[in-house]
Amino acid sequence: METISFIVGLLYQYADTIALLALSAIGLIIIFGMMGVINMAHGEMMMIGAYITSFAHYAGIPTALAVILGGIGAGLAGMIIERLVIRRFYGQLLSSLVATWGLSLILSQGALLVFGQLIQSVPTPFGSFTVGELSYSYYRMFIFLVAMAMIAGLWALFRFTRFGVRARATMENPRMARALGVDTSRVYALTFGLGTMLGGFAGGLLALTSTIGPFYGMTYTPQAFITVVVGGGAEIVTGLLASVLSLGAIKTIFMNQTNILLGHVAMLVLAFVIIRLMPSGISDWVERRQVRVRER
Amino acid sequence: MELGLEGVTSGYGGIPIVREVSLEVENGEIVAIVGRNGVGKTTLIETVAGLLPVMEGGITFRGQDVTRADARDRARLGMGYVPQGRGIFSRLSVEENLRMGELVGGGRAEAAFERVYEWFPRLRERRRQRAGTLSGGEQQMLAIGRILVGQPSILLLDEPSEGIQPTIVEQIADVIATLNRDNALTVLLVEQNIDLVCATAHRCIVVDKGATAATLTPDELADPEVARRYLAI
Ligand SMILES: Nc1ncnc2c1ncn2[C@@H]1O[C@H](COP(=O)(O)OP(=O)(O)OP(=O)(O)O)[C@@H](O)[C@H]1O
Ligand SMILES: [Mg+2]
Repeated sequence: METISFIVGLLYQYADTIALLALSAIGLIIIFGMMGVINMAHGEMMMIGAYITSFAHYAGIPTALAVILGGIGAGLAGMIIERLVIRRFYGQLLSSLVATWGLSLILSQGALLVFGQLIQSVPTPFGSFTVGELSYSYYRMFIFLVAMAMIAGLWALFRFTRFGVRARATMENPRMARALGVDTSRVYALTFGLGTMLGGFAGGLLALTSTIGPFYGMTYTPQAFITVVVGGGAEIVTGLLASVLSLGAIKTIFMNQTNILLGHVAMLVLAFVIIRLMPSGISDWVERRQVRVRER
Repeated sequence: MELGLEGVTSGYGGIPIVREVSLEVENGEIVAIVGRNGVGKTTLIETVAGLLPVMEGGITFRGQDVTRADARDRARLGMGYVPQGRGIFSRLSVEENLRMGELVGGGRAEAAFERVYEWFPRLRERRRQRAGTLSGGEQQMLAIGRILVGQPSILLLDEPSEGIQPTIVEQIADVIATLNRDNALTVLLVEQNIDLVCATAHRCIVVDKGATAATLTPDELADPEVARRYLAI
């Protein structure tokens, strides 16, 4: 019984950590992989999703729909931001960092000004179950499943749809894609909107587990950035999976054996080691190796 | 007239490379652009494809002024461009690369995958493979096949024979000649391989220092003496 509850606890923590990393990074890694832009305002997209979710929930809209509205709202906000700002900074990592950082400040300070320090949080649905001594939240398992479904959906989108194939082609060689008739600026706008939409949706999902304020996004952005940098931009889905599985594993083990703080530290150390060994991320490294093996 | 250039000047960063080039390609004609390395052949064909802006002059395509149209619009109007170095998407599968040709010529009709697989059976065998794993010759077949999946009315080919074994060059020459004969497809071909030019072209335009220097028939170009003079091979 002891060992069973220990294993259940560990698996639960692992799933929970993976879900958190994946949800906070999924929108960010799409944008980074496609456009070589790190969106520093990604946390604010999650914040927008959370705010819309809360407002919609208290306006009497069913919670599931409220979360979806959060995603749609952030997606629209993202497309507007892309049109006005991001478009000028494609492929320029540093300028885009500064520009989106400014955007992040404007959005969070703006939310503070308009809505104040905190808005009403949304209760966590579904209740809990116990194994041995410990009790677990059904909702956290639910968002783990949703996160996995989002990754699978993203994979299918990029693999099987016209848009997905054109987006991957544009990502690899935008000039050639244009010469084949692809409207690359539309691909970029849609991809950016997709990334911010997933960010907003994730923000809405996670809003049901925490307090919501103007700086809500900042809870998630550091680990989102780490996850993206470790995953790399060469293959969005496999990079994201490899990154969340490895970072999640080390964090879970250390959290379980010591405490949350050391869990974070261990994750950072692993991220540091991976980036030393594979400077442009796991997916890029894997791709280079495949090419080298073939050339032999 | 399929394609017309009228005093076209273009280059990089405001510095002209191609200077006042005028040429006309008739419907169903195969015109070869020949010239030494670095004279501006690629610059010229990229300007035609819309990847480089026209600095002076004008371009018409199928009766439309496309001087200011970008590469996307020109592709949808029916320009099928195969760049030097082939420009295949190495992370995409062979089939996905072919799908990327659908928009050429407007993307209305049923994409012609079957036809392309018949011309290049090698591509069918490898259709699930990542395109980056193909040999150079196979990649060239893929780049040409990709265009033919759509409905190009002109092919813009930049050195299709570069770095490719002779048997595949012959196969490509075959496909070009057949398409031209059966479907009256127009071709603008940049090429240094005299055999390929002679096997396909109706007319050869010699480019030197970014300007047109002479117009030759393929038979004239087949003369080693003439070829040496113009191409310094
Ligand atoms: N992206 C670029 N920026 C600046 N100059 C360039 C660029 N590409 C080519 N050039 C210059 O333009 C000139 C013509 O190059 P271009 O590639 O058009 O020649 P080419 O005839 O196609 O040569 P090759 O036979 O080697 O393919 C060269 O002097 C080259 O250095
Ligand atoms: Mg060239």
